[in-house]
This record gives sequence, C-alpha cells and structure tokens, in this order.
Amino acid sequence: MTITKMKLSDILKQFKYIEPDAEFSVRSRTEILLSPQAAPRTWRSVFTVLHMVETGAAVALAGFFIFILAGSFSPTRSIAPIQYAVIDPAGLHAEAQAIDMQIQLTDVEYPQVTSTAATSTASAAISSAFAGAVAAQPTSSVSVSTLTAAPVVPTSTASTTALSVDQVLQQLSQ
Amino acid sequence: MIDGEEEQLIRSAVGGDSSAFGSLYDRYQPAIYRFILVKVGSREEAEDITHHVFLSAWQKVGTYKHRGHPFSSWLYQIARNMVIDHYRSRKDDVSLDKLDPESSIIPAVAQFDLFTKMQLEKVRRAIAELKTDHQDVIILRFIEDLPLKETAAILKKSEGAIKLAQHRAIKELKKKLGDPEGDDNYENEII
Repeated sequence: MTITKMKLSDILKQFKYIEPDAEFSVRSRTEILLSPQAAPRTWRSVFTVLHMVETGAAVALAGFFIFILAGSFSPTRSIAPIQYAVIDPAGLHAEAQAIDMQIQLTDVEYPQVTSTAATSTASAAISSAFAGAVAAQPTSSVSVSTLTAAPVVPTSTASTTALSVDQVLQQLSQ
Repeated sequence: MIDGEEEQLIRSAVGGDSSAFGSLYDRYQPAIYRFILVKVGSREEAEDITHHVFLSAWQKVGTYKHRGHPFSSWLYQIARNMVIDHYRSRKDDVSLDKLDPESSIIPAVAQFDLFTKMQLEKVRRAIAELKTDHQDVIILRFIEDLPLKETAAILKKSEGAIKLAQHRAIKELKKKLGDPEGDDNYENEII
C-alpha cells in the first residue's frame, strides 16, 4: 500500500507531533537569554562612522608622510626658516669671498711689513725718486712715510703699515 | 492575528526584557524546530539552526517592527534564510543515497511505532526533494496549519501565488511518493 493510497493529510498531520529534545530546549534557551543583545542601531551607526573616520585619517596620514619622504621635504627649511637664515647661499657666497679677500690682503701685507726696514733703507734711491711726486701730494704724506719711514720719521718704522697694497700702487701710479 | 498577551510580550522583548523573549521562545521554538527539521532532515543540524535562529532573533529583536503579522512570521523568515545559508555553506548537493542513517527525523519521533516512523521519514525525504518554495508551502500550510494570509506574509508572496504554489507542491509531492497522476482531492480537502 502506497502512501498516496492512504490519507496523506493524516501523515502530514503527524509531523506536528515532532518535538525538540527537552534538554536541548532548556540549554539553548538559557544560552540565548544570557547572551548580550546587539547595540541599538543608532549607536551602531555612530560606531560605524567613527570607524570610517579613523580609517580615513590613518590612510591620509600615511599618504602625507609618504609624500614628504618621497618629495625630499626638509622640515628645517620650511618650518623654521628664521633659525637657518644664515644658510642663504647668496649670503654665504658673498661672505666667503670677503674672507678670501682679507686673507689675501694679510698675506700681501705681512712680507711688506717685515721687509719695511730693508726696503726703507735699501730702496732709498727709489724713494728719493718718488719723493718729488709724494711731496706734491700732501694728503698722502702718511702713506709715503709708510714706505720711507726710516729716513723721514725714525721712530715710526713698521707700526703704520695698515695701508693696503692697492692703495699704495694707486698712489704710485698717480 | 496576535492576541493582547503576545503583543505585550513582543513589546517587552523589543524593550530588552529577556523573560518576555523567553516566553516567546517557549511558544514558537517547537514550530520553528519542526520547520527546520523537515527541511534539513538531521536532528543535530536542526537543533543547531534553531538555536541560531533564536539567538539572532534575540540580538535583533530591538529592531523588530510590528506590521500586523504574528511574531512567528518574523521567526520563520529568519529560519528560512538560515536554512538557505546552511545549504550554501555545505556547497555540495546532498543526495538521498549519501544521507547518513543518523540524518533522519526518526530520533525525533520516538513516540511513534516503527511503521509510522518509516512513513514519516519517506514523506520527509520526498518533501526535501521539492523546490524550496514548495517545501515551505507544504510545511506551513499542511503541517503547521497556518492560514493563507500568514503563509503569504512569511514567504512574501500574494495569497493567489500561495494557492498556486500549494497546488503544484502537493501534486509534485504525490508524484515523488509514487502516484504519478497525483490526487487533487487531498488538496481540495485542505483548502
């Protein structure tokens, strides 16, 4: 006898007598009711937005640092320009050139000072040759006495040799 | 229709009252368990899914919106989706031949004699071979005796579509059970 020959409705009705295991029901019920409920939707929305902001900020910050590192950014140049203004290339160049000039002048003056006595006595002829020209210019009497100090003013030998070579040459040319 | 007591229980459960939700659990858990058991066939799997259905319902009950349907409609919808997810996660089609002997409803119907148990298991397997919608219609309409309107609400279809579906489902079930011509008298009796 097939099922369809029987009352199918009776068989289907018998499914309704199926009951879950009582022990399972009690255990499941207890576990479910002890478990925490999900946060309200509003709080979940707030947490979601905060999480998105946090992620976005992290990505933006990482991108910013990558940009700085890749672009050879110098914080000392852009953030504190006043403290490092002396590192101006043009100023440094001018200052370096000025230092070089002083060194050259010092180098030039030193042998001149040391050889003043010798030249002042040995080149008496030269100084006498220029004496006329020097005497014609009263304003340059000091410079002349520098080179020819010994014969004119015996007490001031090399102490007044601060005049530069250029000035002397210029005066000589005149 | 829901009575005043159930409405009060739902309102309390939505407000987070665990004892109210416990009362709703006691009221609907057997029906949800049967619905799942007939579809999956294994008592252990049915227990696991039933547990997760009510756990999910408890966690989401704060978002429940009463639309005039019984609370069970919402539970059936959760159960339906969980059974679908269950089969998706298994990823393989379970053939009847490969079914584990333990995977049957027989342990759950211990109160019946052996002949009745075998009949129930045979019918259950035939139901499990039907389309999902047809399975749902047979369980809700002919096992649980739910009215047409509530069945339509659970399956999110019109009442006309449910009538058509149950007609086809019964015809298909009879074919599966060995009556190729079907027997429309039974359906007429039900309706």
